[in-house]
Amino acid sequence: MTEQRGHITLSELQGRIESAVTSALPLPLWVCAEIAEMKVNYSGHCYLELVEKSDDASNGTATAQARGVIWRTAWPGVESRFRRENGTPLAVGMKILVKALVTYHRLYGLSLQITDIDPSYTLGDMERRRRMTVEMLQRDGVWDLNRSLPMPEVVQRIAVVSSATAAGLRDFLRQTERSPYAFRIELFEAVMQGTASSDSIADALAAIAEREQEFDAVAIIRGGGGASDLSCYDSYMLASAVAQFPLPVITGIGHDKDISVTDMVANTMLKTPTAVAVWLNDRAAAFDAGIEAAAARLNESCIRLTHIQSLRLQSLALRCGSAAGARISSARTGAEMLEKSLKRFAESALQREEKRLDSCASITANFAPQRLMRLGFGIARMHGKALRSTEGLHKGDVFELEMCDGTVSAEITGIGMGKES
Amino acid sequence: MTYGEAMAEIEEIIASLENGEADIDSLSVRVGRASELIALCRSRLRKAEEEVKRVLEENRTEE
Repeated sequence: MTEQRGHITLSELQGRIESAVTSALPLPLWVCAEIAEMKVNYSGHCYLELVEKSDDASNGTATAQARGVIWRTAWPGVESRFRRENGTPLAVGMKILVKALVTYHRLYGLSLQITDIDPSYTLGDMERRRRMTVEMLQRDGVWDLNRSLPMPEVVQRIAVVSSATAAGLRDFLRQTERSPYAFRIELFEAVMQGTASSDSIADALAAIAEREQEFDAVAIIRGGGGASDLSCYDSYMLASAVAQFPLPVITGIGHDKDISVTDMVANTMLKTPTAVAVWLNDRAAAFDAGIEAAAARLNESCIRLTHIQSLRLQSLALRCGSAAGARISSARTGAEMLEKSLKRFAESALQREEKRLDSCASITANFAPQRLMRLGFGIARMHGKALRSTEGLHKGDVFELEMCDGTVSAEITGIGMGKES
Repeated sequence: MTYGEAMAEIEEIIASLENGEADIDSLSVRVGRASELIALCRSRLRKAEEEVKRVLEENRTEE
């Protein structure tokens, strides 16, 4: 037998809770919480799942949870103000400060009817998280790593991290195709916004890192469409992966407000995907112009050099010609002088010989017997032999005396002594 | 006989004439020989002169 105890109905219980809640919390309160889930239904109401997490780093466990709703009468105003002031829409993972009236419904239980959200609270929280990320990267010593990588003079092989359907990617591809320079672009698909994007982009980067040698740089591009949740670009995980990436990273994330931490650590930060394409084209063009200028300078210096050398050759040729001329003329003068002196020498030698012969002839002529005899000398001969001395001659000897015009016979009548004997 | 040999013989003859070595009978022979040699030398000299003139003339036209 079941004992009948005093009891109340469920609706009575819920009614009591409802009145307790209403009397305990009669006015709206400002409550801070994190968005765990969020959806706007067909009728235009926004339903939220709000949580509070324990402080142990990022993956803290929920310590409190409540449902929230923003009726369609309030939602457009709240949403647009938030987006205008923070540059980003409300998104899962954000900490928000809401003005809420606590209500209790007999059927649906406890719910927070949100009438307002303070955008500056979220902004401050986002800013605080950004600062923390920056500080952690600096403490890790990776802050400057990607920015200190040298960017190649010409960036031609580009690994693009983007979503295949993004309008920004289409802009980027259209712009690069228009360029006169050839770019080799390979897409590594990733989710580019929302909570999953941080892991997704990091996975794409890891896939590129495996083929590092095949690329000059990485471009992370996103863009187009309305405002979206870009808080992933401030996440420590993604910014750290970009900072330590072995290839220079170019960002073109396409946000209108503050630059993200990922932008700060990237080698080159640009506003939009189109800006990335323009930058690539300009860099190639600058290099091309450099080559053109170098070629022009080379050409110029070649011309100058050959001109200088040809002038030098001309002057050398002139000098050579005049030197040779001088040399020839001096040689000719020398030769003429030599010829003259040779002639003089030969003549004087001949004359000398002539004189010598003359003198020989006159000496010889002096000794000619005919001349001597004409001068009165005679040749005494005995037995055909010329007499040169009185020696051996005797009185009565007969001898012959030859004179210029004839011969006489004579007899020695006496011998006298001459001076010589 | 070269000019030098002829000249040497002339000098020799003159020397023998001047120091009175030769007797009177060889005198006319020596004088004759010397005259002959002198004539030879003269003709050689003339030829040499012509040769020199010709060579110098040739040099000039060769230039």
